[in-house]
Amino acid sequence: MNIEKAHGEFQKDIAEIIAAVADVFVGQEEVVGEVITALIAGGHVLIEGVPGLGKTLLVKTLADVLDLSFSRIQFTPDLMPADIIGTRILYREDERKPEFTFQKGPVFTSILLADEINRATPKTQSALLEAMQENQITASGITYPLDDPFFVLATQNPIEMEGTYPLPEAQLDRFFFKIMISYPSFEDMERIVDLTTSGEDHIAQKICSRERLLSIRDVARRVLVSGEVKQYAIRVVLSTHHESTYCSKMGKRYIRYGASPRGIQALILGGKVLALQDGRFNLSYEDIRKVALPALRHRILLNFEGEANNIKTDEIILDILKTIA
Amino acid sequence: MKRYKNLTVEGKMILKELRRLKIGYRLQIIYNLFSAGLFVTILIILFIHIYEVRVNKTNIPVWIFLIPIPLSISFSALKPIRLAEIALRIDKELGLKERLITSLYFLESKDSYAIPLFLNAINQTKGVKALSLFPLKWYRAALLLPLLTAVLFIYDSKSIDSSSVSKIPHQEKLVIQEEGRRIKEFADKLKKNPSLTDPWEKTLIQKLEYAGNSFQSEMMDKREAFMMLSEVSSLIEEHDLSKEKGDFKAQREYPETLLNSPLLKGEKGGLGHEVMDSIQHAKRHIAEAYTGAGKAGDPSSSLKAGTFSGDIISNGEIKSELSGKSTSLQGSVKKYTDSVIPFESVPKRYHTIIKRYFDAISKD
Repeated sequence: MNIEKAHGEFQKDIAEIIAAVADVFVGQEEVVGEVITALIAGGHVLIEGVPGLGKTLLVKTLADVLDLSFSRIQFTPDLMPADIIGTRILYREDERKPEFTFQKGPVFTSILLADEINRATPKTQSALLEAMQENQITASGITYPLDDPFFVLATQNPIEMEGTYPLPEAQLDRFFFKIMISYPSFEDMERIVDLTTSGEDHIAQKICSRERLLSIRDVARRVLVSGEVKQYAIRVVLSTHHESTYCSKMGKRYIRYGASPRGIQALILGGKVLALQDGRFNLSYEDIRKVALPALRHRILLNFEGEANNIKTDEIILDILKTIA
Repeated sequence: MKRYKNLTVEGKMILKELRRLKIGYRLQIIYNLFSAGLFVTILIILFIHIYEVRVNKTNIPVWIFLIPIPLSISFSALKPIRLAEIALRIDKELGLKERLITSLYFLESKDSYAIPLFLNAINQTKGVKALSLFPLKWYRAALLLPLLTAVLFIYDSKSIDSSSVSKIPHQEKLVIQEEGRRIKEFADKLKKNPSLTDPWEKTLIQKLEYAGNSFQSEMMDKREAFMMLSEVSSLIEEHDLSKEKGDFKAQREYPETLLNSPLLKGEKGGLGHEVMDSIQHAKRHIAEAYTGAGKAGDPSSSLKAGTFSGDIISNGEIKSELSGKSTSLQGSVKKYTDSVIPFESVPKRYHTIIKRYFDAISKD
């Protein structure tokens, strides 16, 4: 097939996926776009927002639209790693001798909603984060590959922090994007009320298959990146390091630690998906700028002065984008 | 310049497009440099004006526009322009979202995505005119300011003394012009004399000629003319020609031919007296016309009245005279105090030395 035509079809598919999800998950088009960007880029997403904003609905709708399996784990302090990855149990089939078999946990799915991930203990959190990183789990010395695609959408509540175990920076770095979800607008609230109280079930249409999704992912990775744009992404990430010459005045004042090379990967891969959505064969500066907030906001650690002045990492990133030419 | 190898047809097209648009970019650089050059020239000219550097001011309006042209062209010719620089500029100007710079980066690549990218970029730049992409913007300030300065200088050069001249009554103007004519005639007479061949004599004639022309014309700088006359006085004093013919020094220093010249056989003893008389006459009339102050009694009162001796300012040897010959200097001053010019019309750089001079006189 002609490359340009195929490219056009992928572009159309992405637009349809976003539209189909946004049709059910009302009033959060930007969030939907960012989630799908991360999914296509092959990363995982951490969503921060108050309860009741439809995070489960988002993941379920996404699974429906993409025709993928879906699981949800409610993280609690007593949740154990085995509750996530699975465990070996004694199982007897018919009259045969009982045998230990591996009972797969909820992690064996394509889309996983890890609800309130900061409520579980670090041990349990790290079990999931390891699976996210390796795309496989190991139990009793046996390695089990996870689904492809394997997409984790973890959530955390910014309000009730008592009795929680905040994710350490090293674990946060494993999330491709951190997406902030806020209350919908007045008009969107009206639409939500109409959709959810009318008695009609709004079921999302299946738009794309697993194979198609994997093809889109491959195509996105082939988007061309020039040396200049690559260097721009590197400069953006280096400018989050307070000791770097690229760092802005604000960054030097408030940043303790900056983004890791994973930050550059997120900028480039996220940007490539946006380029594909835009029907381009190349990555642009604008793509990098568009993904800079979700890709870097959780990778910057503020110092005491920054925390004390209630500075948001988003403000620092926007300042960096203004400074970097 | 980088040489690209094994290019595809589309790659060659990209390269061709970039080179076509490069011309406009270079023109824009020349134009911008020219505008910047105008500003720099203006600064230099303002410097000349403020510090009263002696130049022919009538040429300044021409300099304002002529100096930046060769400078901008030669600078832009020497400055290498990279294709990547052009590609980035075009991407920015046309909103191509880095299509061209990426095309250039993958120009030699065999990636299957490169060809559609090249075609996409070519489609976007096709038909775009180089000059519309890199317009020669009308920098109002850059062009209006030099224009204004040029006009001001033309006006200024025409009226360097016209402001004071305009204050002079018509009758007095006629006197100045008459004196100018007299000096010019005298210079022409000297010019025809074949015996006046020494360099200082030629200089003397040139200076007289200039002074004569200046006083005759309303356009020329009268201050310069005064300076010329004063320098002529100094030359004569220096060569001792104001003394009587047959003076020992004159006989020793000047050839017989010059001393016997008909010009030297003037009523008061020769060339020196004739010239000095002419100068004194001219200066007195002109100074009176300028200031209306009339004659000044002594140097200090002249200064107080805002006037001083024209000879003093022109004499570059004031400093040396101050060091050892204050008595003779005082005599010299008294000799010329009846010729006065306005203190304001004297270049500022002479003010300190003049004040020092009068201090020395008053101590004597």
